[in-house]
Amino acid sequence: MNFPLLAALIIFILIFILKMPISIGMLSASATYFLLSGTNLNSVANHVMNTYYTNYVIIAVPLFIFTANIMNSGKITDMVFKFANCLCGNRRGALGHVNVVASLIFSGMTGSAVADASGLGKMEIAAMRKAGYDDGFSCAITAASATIGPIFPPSIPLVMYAMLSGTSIGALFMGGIVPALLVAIGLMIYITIIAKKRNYPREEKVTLKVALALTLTAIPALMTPVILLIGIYTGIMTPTEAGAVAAIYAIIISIFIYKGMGWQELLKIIKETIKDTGSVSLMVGAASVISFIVAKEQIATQIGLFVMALTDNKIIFLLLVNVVILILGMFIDTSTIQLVFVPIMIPLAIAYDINLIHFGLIVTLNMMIGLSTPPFGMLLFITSSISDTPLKNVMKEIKWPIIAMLIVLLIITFVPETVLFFPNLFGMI
Amino acid sequence: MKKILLVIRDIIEIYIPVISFSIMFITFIVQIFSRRILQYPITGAYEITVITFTWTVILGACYTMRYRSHVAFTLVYETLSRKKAAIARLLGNLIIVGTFSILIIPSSEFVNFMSFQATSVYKVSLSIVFAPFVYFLCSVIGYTLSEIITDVKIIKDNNKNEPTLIVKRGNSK
Repeated sequence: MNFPLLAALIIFILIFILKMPISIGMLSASATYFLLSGTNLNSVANHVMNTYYTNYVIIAVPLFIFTANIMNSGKITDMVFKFANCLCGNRRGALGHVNVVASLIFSGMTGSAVADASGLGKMEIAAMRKAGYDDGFSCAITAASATIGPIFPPSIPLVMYAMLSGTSIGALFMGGIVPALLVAIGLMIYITIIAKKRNYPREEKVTLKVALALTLTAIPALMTPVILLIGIYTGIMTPTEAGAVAAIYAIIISIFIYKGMGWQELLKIIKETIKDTGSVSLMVGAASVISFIVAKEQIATQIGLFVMALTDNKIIFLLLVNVVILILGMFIDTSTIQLVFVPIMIPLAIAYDINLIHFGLIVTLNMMIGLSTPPFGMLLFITSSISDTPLKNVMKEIKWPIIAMLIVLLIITFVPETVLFFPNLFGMI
Repeated sequence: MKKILLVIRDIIEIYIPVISFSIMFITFIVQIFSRRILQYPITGAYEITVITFTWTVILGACYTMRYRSHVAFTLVYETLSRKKAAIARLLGNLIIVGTFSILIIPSSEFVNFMSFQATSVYKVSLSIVFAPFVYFLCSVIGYTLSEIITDVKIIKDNNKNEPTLIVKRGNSK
């Protein structure tokens, strides 16, 4: 290893020890590398700015963040929750099932796990607490069900993966449908078992008249995923434009139909969106400089040769990828994993002849599991803090939901058709 | 004077990105409406969206810096006492200030150099498109220097050696 690379690597490691902001730290590491290797230092500005200027796909990210923020501030989350409650209120442990169904519906609107856990989650946990559910269980189910968000279309991590791998966003979105449904089913099976064991309550049966009224009120909100998916798959709009359409639709129904948001609130949401976009997208720009260094130093090739010398079996490779991402996900933020480590894995996936849509969904589901995995699953922190539940109670309860999600991960890893069925059906591959 | 500077900072870090984002968003909507309903694609819509997106991201990153909301790894940091945490933060911040300082001149030269190119429809100089990057470097240095001053004060104060509070992590999705 040459000296400039070693120095950059040391700074990269220090990011994780000294609490440097990761994106800013990556730019510092890159600057050190360029300075010591005698490369023109303007390469940093060049790579960062051209990443934004030339990657049209990534513009979908702030648009979906914007949509998620609108959904959470208007009455849309409330509407989604009531509708899910009406769908599965009569089962034992009903609110657990409502939690999963509401997340599944919400995920068709925003594609953000954090938005799901912090917005819809607050409402779900409060309702479950009131009905006598254990707080730890409520938080764990909320965290686990929120992971469906970035798997079911639309999805912010899948947009970023499409940018990294050059695959079709539409095909990735389609590929996410079955895995998301499998995660929902897995979690609902777990809830059924636990609800029986702990004798969790049923909700009052909703009369047909009330159910009909609730459905009619919820229809504008429920139409969001329908408009998005039809728009994308009929070619009326690109997935990037779909982000804008979802946002304008959310604004219209929030202001004019549900009357849950004013213009002042909208300005606050835009400011919040800018803050979130600054954080997420800066990471993309910083990672592009790191990727340039990785390519220049042929690090990916060396890792590739090493892995291929270990095994030429793609199943073992996929298992290896799953283990590595699961471990990374326990400690590192998903965007860091996606932007720093996944680009190294993509050429290997190609070398092992793995379909990149399939690979993208494996990686994304795996990263989402990491969001709920102790000690550093961000969704655990969010659900714990919004409900004032001790973190240890949430960690104790998250074990089985994680196992349910891991089973789904294994299914989609070894049965590629679970991911590729819809993209094939619509002729996208 | 300080008040004027703070107003200028708000204009650059809040109002310009809010306007940029709004223009980007409206352009998308108008573009879809024009292409699909009026059957008349707007030629320069792509340019407007990428320019406003670039500005939104870079100036938005400065706004994020103001609230220390960039994603950070805090697993090791949280185990440190208040003083040791301040030392760790100080070292990290010194690295940031040092490396970002050496980027200012080459980045300014790069931005200046890009004036030879302009966008194809509206002929906007790429210097203007890329200019926020230089402000971003200065802004990060500014915010980091203020943290350095705080950290030095904490390190000098030997009496307070209690554990640090958990630091909020920014979100990524």
